[in-house]
Amino acid sequence: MIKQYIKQALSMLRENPLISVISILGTALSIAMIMIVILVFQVQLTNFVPEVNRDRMLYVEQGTEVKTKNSWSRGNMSVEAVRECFYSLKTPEAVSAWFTMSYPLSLPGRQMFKTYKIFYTDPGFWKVYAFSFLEGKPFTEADFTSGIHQAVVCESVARGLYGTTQVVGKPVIIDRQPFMICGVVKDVSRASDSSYGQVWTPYTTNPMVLNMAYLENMSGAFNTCLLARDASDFDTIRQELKGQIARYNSTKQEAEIHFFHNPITRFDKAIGTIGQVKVELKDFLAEMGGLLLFLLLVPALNLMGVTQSAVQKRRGEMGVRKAFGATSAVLVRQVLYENSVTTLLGGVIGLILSFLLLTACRDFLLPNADTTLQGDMLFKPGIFFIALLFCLLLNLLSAGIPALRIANEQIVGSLKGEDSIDK
Amino acid sequence: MIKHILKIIWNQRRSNGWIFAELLVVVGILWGMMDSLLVDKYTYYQPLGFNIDNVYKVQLGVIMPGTPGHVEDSLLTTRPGEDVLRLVDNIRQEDKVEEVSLSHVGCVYTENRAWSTLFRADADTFIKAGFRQSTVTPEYFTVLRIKEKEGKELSTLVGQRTGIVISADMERAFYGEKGSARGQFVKYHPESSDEMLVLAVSGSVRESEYKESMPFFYQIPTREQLLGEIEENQPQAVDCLVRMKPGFRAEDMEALLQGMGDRLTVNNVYVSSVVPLSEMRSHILKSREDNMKKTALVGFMLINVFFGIIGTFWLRTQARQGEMGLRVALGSNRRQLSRLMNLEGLILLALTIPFLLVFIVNMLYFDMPDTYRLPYTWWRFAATFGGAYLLMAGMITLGIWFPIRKTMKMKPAEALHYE
Repeated sequence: MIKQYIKQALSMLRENPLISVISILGTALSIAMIMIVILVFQVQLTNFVPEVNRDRMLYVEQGTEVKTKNSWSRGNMSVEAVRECFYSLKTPEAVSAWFTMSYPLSLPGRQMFKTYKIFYTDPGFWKVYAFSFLEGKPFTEADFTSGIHQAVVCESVARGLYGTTQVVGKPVIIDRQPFMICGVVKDVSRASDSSYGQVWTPYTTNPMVLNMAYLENMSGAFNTCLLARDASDFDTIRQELKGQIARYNSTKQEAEIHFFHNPITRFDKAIGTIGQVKVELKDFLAEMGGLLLFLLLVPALNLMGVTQSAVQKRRGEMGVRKAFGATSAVLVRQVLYENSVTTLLGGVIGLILSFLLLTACRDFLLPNADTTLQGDMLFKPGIFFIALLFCLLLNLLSAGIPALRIANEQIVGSLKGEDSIDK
Repeated sequence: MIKHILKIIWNQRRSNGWIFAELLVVVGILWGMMDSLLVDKYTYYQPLGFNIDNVYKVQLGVIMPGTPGHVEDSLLTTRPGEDVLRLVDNIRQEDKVEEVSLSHVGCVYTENRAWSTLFRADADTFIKAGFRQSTVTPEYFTVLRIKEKEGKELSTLVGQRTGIVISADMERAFYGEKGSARGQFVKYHPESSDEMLVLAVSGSVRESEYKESMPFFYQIPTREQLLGEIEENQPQAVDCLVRMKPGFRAEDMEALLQGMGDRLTVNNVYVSSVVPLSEMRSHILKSREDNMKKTALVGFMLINVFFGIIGTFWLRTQARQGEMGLRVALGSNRRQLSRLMNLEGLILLALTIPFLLVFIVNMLYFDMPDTYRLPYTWWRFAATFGGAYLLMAGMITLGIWFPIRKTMKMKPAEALHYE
C-alpha cells in the first residue's frame, strides 16, 4: 500500500513541477534554519575532544562572591578557597582549578610580542579532559608541586615557534619567564570553552597571580571544574561542597564566600546560565520554542494552502475510495504519506544545507570567533532523528488539516464533483 | 474594482485564510526585526566622542624576583612609577609614534570600569550618583582624539595644570542646559574640603557604538599623585595607549617592537605585548553584532513567503483558467488581467494592516521596543512600518509575476476549452 502511495506521490510531484519545487525548497529552507538552531545548541552541549566528559561535569566559572561588612567582590576565588572547598572533596572523580592569561611567547635571544592564551592549571586537568598528545606528555604532579616551568603547547604554536612538532625539551619564554616544552597536543577548538588555550602549564609557575588574593585571602583568580563518577552524583557533590564552604567560612573573621547557584552542569551552560546569572529552563524553552515555532509555522502555512488546493482536485477519487469502504483514517493516512515525500525530500536537502550554512556563518552563529568545527561536534546520531522529527511535525501541520477536511466530506458531494475552486 | 476584488478574496477565503495568516505572522516579525535593527544602526552612527584609528594598547609587565633580568631592590635608584614614566618617554621618542598616554581604567573597549561620586563645590543639593571616571595624563585626549565640546584641542586647554575635565553630559547634569562648568570647582565628597578645578568640558563621550552617551569625568593628577596611582595599582593594571603616525600598519608593529630592543625595559618595568584597539573593539562588539546578523538570517525566511505567494497564486491561476479565458474573450486585455491579480495580492496584504497596528500599540503599551536609545517618534514608526510593508509588497508582486506571465501566454480559446 505504501509503495502505491509513494508512486502516486511522485507522479503528483511531476504533474506540477513548479509547485513541487517550491514546496520542497520551502521545506528545505525551514528545516535548514531549524537544524542550525539545534546544531548551535548541540555544539554547546555535547561531548567532543578534548571535552569528552561534559555530561559528567560541574563548573564554577566567574561564580564566586566574597562579602565583608563594608565591601564585596564578585568574580573568581583564591587558591586557598580552591584548596579548602574543592580539593578537599571526596565524591568527585577529579577536580581541577584554572585561570587564563594572555602573554607573549618568545624564543631565547628573540623577544617577541604576539600574545597567546596561556592556561594555568593543575594535574587534575589532564584527568578531566582527554587531550590528543602528538609528542611528549603532560606536566606531572611533581612539576606542579614544585612549580617547575614545564609547558604543554599546541601544534600550531610549536610550528609557529620552531617549524616542527618535535619540540619536546626545547625552551619557550612565556612573558620573560623561561619554560621547557614537555608535550605537544593537537589544536583545540575554541568551542571547548573550559579548556581552550594555546599553552598549558602549572599555575604554581605564576606566583604573581596566586598572590593577587583579597578579602581575607578568599577572592582571587580561579575557576574550578569537577568530574563526577556519574551524573547521579551531582547532588551528593553539591551537599559535600556546602559542608566544605561552611567549614571554610567558619575559619574566617570578617569575610564570607559563596558561589551563587554554582556548581552548574553543562546543560545549564548550554541554555545560557553563567557564573552570576541563572537562566531558568522555562524561559529558555519559551524563547527557543517560540523561535522554532516561527520557523515551522511559516512553511507549514505555505504548504497548507498548496496541499488544500491539491487535495481538493482529487475529491472525486476520495469519494470513490470512501464508497468502496475506505475509512476516514485510511484517507488521512494516504494524504499524509503522499505529503511526506515532499517533506522528507525537503528535510534531507535542508539538513545538508544546515551543515553548509553553519560552516559558512559560524563566525556570528557561535559565541567565539574563529571556532574550528569538528566532526564529533556535529555528526551525532541524535541530529538525524531530530531532523526527522521536525519533518514529520511539518508534515502533520501542513497536511493534517486539509486531509481531515477532505476525509470527512460526504461521499455524494465528492462523487458529484461539485467543481468550485474551494468553498 | 476594489469591491470586486474584495468579493473574490472573500469567496476564496478557505485557501486565502492560510496565506493571510502567514502574511500576518511574517509582517509582525518583520516589523519587530526592522525596529530593533533601526535602533541599533541609528545608535551606531552617532558620534562616539573618541577615535581609535592607529591606537594601540601597550601591556606593561613587572619582572618578578627569580626571573632573568630582575634588578634587585638594593640596586634600584628610581621608583617603579618613575620607571614607567621613563619607559613611556622611550616609546614617545620613537619616530613612528605620534603620542603616548597613561591612564587608569581609561582604556576604551574593555570590560573594566570605575565609578565615583562627584559633587559641585558650591551647591547645597547634590546629585547622588556614581559617574564613570578615570585618571589620565593630558596626552590621553590627544591619543584618543577627545575634543573640547566646541571642537578645540583639550590638551592645550589643560596645559600643565591639574584638575578635572568633565564631559558635556555631566556639565548638563550639574549646571543645567545653559550652565558653564569651566572654572568651577568640584569635590569627591560633600564634606570634603579638597576642591578641584574644572579645567575644560569635553564633548559627549559614549562607551561604544551601541551604547547611549553618559556623563564621564577625567582626573588630571599631579606628578606625585600619578606615581602613587601607578605604584598602588601596579604597572600591569595601568593602560598605556599609543597613537602611531598615519600610514603605520598593524603588521609592522612586531618588527618595530623587536627593533626597539632594550629601550622597552627600564629596570623591572617592561613592555610585554601590544594590541591594536580595533581588535579589542571587535571582541567587545561581537555579541551585539552577532545578534543583528542572526536576526537578519531569520529574515531570510522571507524567501518562504515568496514561495508561498508563488504557490498559492499559481494554483489559483490554474484553477481559474476558465475565468481568465472568459475575461479575455470578453475584451479584457492582458494588462488588466495582471493588474487584477496584483491588486488581489496587495489587498490581501493591506488587510493585515489593522491587525499589525493593534499589535504595535500593544507593544508600545508594554514598553517593549527600545525607547531608551531612540525615542518612538513618527519617523521611526514610518520607517519601520513602511519598510516592512514595502518589503512584503515587493515579495508579493514578485511572487505573482510568474503566474501572471503564464496567464498572459494563454490563448482564450484554449482556456475556455480547459474543462
